[in-house]
Parts: sequence; structure tokens; C-alpha cells
Amino acid sequence: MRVTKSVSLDTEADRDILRWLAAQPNASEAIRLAIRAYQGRGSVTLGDVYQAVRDLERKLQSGVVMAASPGNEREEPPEAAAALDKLGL
Amino acid sequence: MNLGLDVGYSATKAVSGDRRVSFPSVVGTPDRARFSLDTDQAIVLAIPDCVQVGEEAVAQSRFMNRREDRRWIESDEWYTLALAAFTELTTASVELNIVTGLPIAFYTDKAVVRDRLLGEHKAQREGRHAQTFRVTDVRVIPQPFGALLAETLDNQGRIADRDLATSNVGVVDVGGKTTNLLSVRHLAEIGRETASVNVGAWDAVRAVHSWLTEHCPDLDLRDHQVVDAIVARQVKYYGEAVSLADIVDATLQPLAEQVLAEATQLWNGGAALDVILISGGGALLLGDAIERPFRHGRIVQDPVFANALGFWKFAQRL
Repeated sequence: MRVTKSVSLDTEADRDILRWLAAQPNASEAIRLAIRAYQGRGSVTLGDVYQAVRDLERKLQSGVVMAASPGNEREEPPEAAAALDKLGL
Repeated sequence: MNLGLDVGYSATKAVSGDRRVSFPSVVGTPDRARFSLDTDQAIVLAIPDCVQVGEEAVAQSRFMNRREDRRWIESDEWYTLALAAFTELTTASVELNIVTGLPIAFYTDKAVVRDRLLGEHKAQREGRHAQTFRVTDVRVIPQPFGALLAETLDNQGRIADRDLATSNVGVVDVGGKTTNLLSVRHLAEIGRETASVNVGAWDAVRAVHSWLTEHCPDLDLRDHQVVDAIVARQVKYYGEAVSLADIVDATLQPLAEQVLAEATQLWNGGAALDVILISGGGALLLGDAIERPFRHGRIVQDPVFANALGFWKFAQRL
């Protein structure tokens, strides 16, 4: 079923959005893609990334960070993983 | 962009990340309704050929092509369906890594599919800019592996379900024309326990179509509309609901029994398998009847998309 939603835009404040919409060959499709891209972005902000870097810096300074064992990187069952690597070749 | 592509005889499905598209595998002439408010939903390609694809083709096209033979993968229709799927997933020109599947009986044709998809493809949807798809890698795997990989791998393509990955698993993949039976151990195919049965959802469609021709002679339904009628178990005839329950049951049961007979023989009753997964678009019609006799059988989550989803997850791994 098709649903139509109305959106209000201000000719001055939203001039950039209006210009961008006018340049799209299919405005509905462009809006759908933009919303999906926004949803896929998740909730991680630049502030979160900055905070994570600061936390890491603090841990490095206090010496609580240990190098991960290479063996922990791939905990897949070896026989099944090998079968997957060959699949379709 | 990694893409799982499943061009089936009845429907084309494609998955990339959160994006999933599905449309009937029908290519028709670009005839349109004279008055329509719903124009941007139609898949109309201007390049490479001017054709209409999917639901709108079923509803509007005067002439349609739908094939069910092995050489379908060499046809223009197959290629058009693949391009239509690309344009449904993205409006941009992108580089693609594709994982797709072939029925077990036709798996030796995998080089044909690979060669058709590799390289540069141009397409243009009506009302859009032209797009170029540069396919840099193609992996063709046996079709029913898709459902198994959908259940086993996470979205990064890593093994998430270790139990399933190390188990003896049977897969019954009910397609439009064939049903594939796959047996794997540690995700490796056991060839002697893997086969195709020439039974699929379209057998049921043909049987019900023939019943309708006799009992509702003025009703001229197209194949995909018959599928809808089978799922709804009724059809409207001059405004009156006509129950299809009896004919649907009478049609589906022998088809399911044929699949069960082959699976039971191939897997020696199936007791040595840890789980039997039932997948494919045909699972919506035949799944319950196939699942019932196997106490360890289960219909996978979203059986229609399972293969395409598994293909995409596998592409994420490569």
C-alpha cells in the first residue's frame, strides 16, 4: 500500500534542502535513501568517537592495555572455516 | 558493495546490507496504466532494453516472458532481472562483489553465470540517471547453501552459529521448478546425499491454474496471481469468494510427498542429520507438509529471502 507523507520546508532556512531536492531525478526515492542512510548510521556520534579515543589514551598511559593474542582473532571451527573458504571455487 | 543475488524462476531476490528487494521474475513490454498515481514503484528499464519488470509487468504488460529452462541463465530476461535488481538496490553507479547460486542439478553451469555477471554493465531506469555497475568478483555456490549460510554466518560473514557449522545438516530448498536437497557436514557438501527433485512451487501453480480454467472459466489469472490465490486459498469470481482449500490441499500433498520420498531415501530416513532446514519461496506452499514428518525439521526465518541473505553474508566474508 502506498502512503503519502507531507513535509514542511522553509524557503529561507531550508534553502539547501530544497535546492538538493530539486536536483534529484526522483525526490521520493532520494528521501527514502537519505532516511535509510541516516538509520544505518546508528547512534555513534563524533563525540562518542572522541570519548573512545580519550579512554584508550588513558588506558595506554596507565598500562592496562594488553596486546590481543592472534589466536583469539579467529575462533571459527577450522574444518568448517576451511570448507567455506573453498565454497564456490 | 557486496550483493547476494538470487534470480529464481519465480522471483528475483537481492540483498545488500539492510536493503532487500524482491519482485516476480517477469519481464514484459513497457505498457503502463493510462491513469496511475503509483508510477515510481514500477521497474521500467530504458537501457539496455526498454522493458518492464516485476509486479508492474505482471499487472500491465501485454506481452511477458517467463522461462523455466536450464538455458535461462543465457537469456536476455535473466540478464534484465539481474540488472533490475541492481537498480532496485541502489541509484548510484557502484562496484559490486556478487555471490549468487545455481540449482544443484545445473551447478556445472556456474562459469556461464560468472562470465555473464563479471565486468561492466550499464542500465538506466525510467526517470533516473544512467548507472554503471562494475562487477569485480562473482562467486557462484550451490543454491541451498544460501539458506544454511544465512543461519550460520553473522553480518560480517563470520561463523556465528558454531553448532550449526559443525553439525550434519540437511537443507530442503523448494524453488519454483526444482527442489534441492543438500546434505553438509562441517559446512562441506556430502555429494552422495545431495540431489535435485523436479518438483517446485510452479507445479502447484499449474495444477491450480488448470482447476481454475475448468471451474472459473472467465477468470484469466497470470501465474503470479495464482500464487497469491494459493496462499490466500481463495479467489474472487464475479465478486464471490471461491474457496481453493480443497484443490490446494489435493495439489500440495502429493508434491510434498514426492519431495519427502526423495529426501527420506537420500538421507536414509534423516535420523543421522542433526537438523533439517526448509527454505525457498516454495516453502510458503509446501513447507508445513515437508516439516511435519521430520521431528528435527524447521522452516528457516524468511524462507523467500534466506538464500539471497546467505549469499550476501558469504560475500561479506570474501
